[in-house]
Amino acid sequence: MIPLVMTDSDIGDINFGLFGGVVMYLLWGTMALLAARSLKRLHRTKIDKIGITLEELVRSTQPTSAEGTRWFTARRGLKSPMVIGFVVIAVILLLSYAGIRTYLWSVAEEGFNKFVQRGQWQGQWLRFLESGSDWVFMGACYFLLRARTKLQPTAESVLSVDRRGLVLFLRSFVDDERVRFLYSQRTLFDFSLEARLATHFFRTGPFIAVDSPNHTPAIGAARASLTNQEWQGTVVEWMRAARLIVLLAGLTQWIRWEMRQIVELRYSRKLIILMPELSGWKHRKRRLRSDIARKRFEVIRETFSGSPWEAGINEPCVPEKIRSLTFGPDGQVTAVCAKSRSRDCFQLAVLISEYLICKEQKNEAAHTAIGCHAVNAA
Amino acid sequence: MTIDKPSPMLRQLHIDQFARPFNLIKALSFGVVIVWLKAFAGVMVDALTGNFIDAAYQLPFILALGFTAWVFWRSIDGISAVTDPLTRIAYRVLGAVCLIGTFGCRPCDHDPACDD
Repeated sequence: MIPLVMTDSDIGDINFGLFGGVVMYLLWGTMALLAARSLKRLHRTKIDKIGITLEELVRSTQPTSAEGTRWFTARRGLKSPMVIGFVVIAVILLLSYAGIRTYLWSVAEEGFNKFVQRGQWQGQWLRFLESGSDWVFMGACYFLLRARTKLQPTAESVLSVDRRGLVLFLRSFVDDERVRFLYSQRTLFDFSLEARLATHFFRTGPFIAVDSPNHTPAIGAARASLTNQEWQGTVVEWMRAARLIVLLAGLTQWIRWEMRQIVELRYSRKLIILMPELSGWKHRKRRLRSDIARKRFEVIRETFSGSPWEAGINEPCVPEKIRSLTFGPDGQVTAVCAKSRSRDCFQLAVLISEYLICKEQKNEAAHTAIGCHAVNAA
Repeated sequence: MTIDKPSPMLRQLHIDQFARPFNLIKALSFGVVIVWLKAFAGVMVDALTGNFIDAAYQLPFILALGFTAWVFWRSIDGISAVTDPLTRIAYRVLGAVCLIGTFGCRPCDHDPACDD
């Protein structure tokens, strides 16, 4: 029977290898059991004050199929020689990784301790190979990530094909997640919050954003490269046309400008303000975390002062817990809150906010229709 | 000092009850995908270096784990896992792989002396 994973225990004693294999299978089995129970719980749990389950929430926010948008993004990018190049490098690195691990595996069968005893140099060489294989695997993940960034469609191509209502993503460029070598293994399958939002919103229409001036490779919204002269006008036009505006709360001058535009042009009812998730060391520093949240929340309060939502936004709350904000009728503000800072909580907060906005829009449309019927009848 | 109290103008929805299940599902999904990638690379090397019997022996496991990894890759975040109809099947397949693996681990599998 094969071991489920080749770990350090592989390079060890034979009996320990057998014991390690059993333990490993038991561990994975237990984890699968716990995860299955968690999934069952998620199916049953209803969202606070809304009274619907997670499944109902997701289904209600995805009325259209994803197939209309996905195919062209992939097909266009796959022809690019750069993508092919990155994929080829990644495959070579993966095979090298597999080769190194197989060699180490064969040494383990021979008996690692005996091998080490033969000479210090050989022992060091094996250790070097073992740590080197991790770097090789990381390299493969990095090049796969780079290939994925090249598969990103541009906003122009998306807007020319997809005529459905767009979702505009506004953020400070400093909050953009970057492709980093050291984190590539972790970020290969779950790159960023923006990437998750892109997967979700591309199902219902174009999800677009302005590209940063230095064209940082990113995975997420379809980027539009705009000049200094044209970007403000284009963004305002997109705000008008957008079905939803997702704004990542920030501190910079231009994010404040964008937020002010939304308030002044009365697009707040389709606005979702998302508090940014903190990555790396910022995440671990409690004081810094709370400072960042408070400062960003202060900017939101400043921008909404004088608007119908001023009273709501100035109500006492804990900014560190806020994940997203929406602005309802009669000056009511809805904050989705969580202690957990996991990416899933941020994503869920956006889904709930989207659900609330869509529900209000449907209610308003129904009221308007009733009003029209009444006028016609009269 | 800020407080977290209900107010008519600021409605607060708490979603903490979802955080822990999400973490567990995500950890398992991520782990299985990585394990499958590594195991698949191992089988490829076995096949390419002429070790066909070992590769063929491992193939059913790689396929079963591959299906699980594919489903988990599709729904690497907890929210997609809830809505994906294949998730439950994937959990069952993973459970079966673990069960067979646990009871199938015999000394001979790891002991080269058993070959004699």
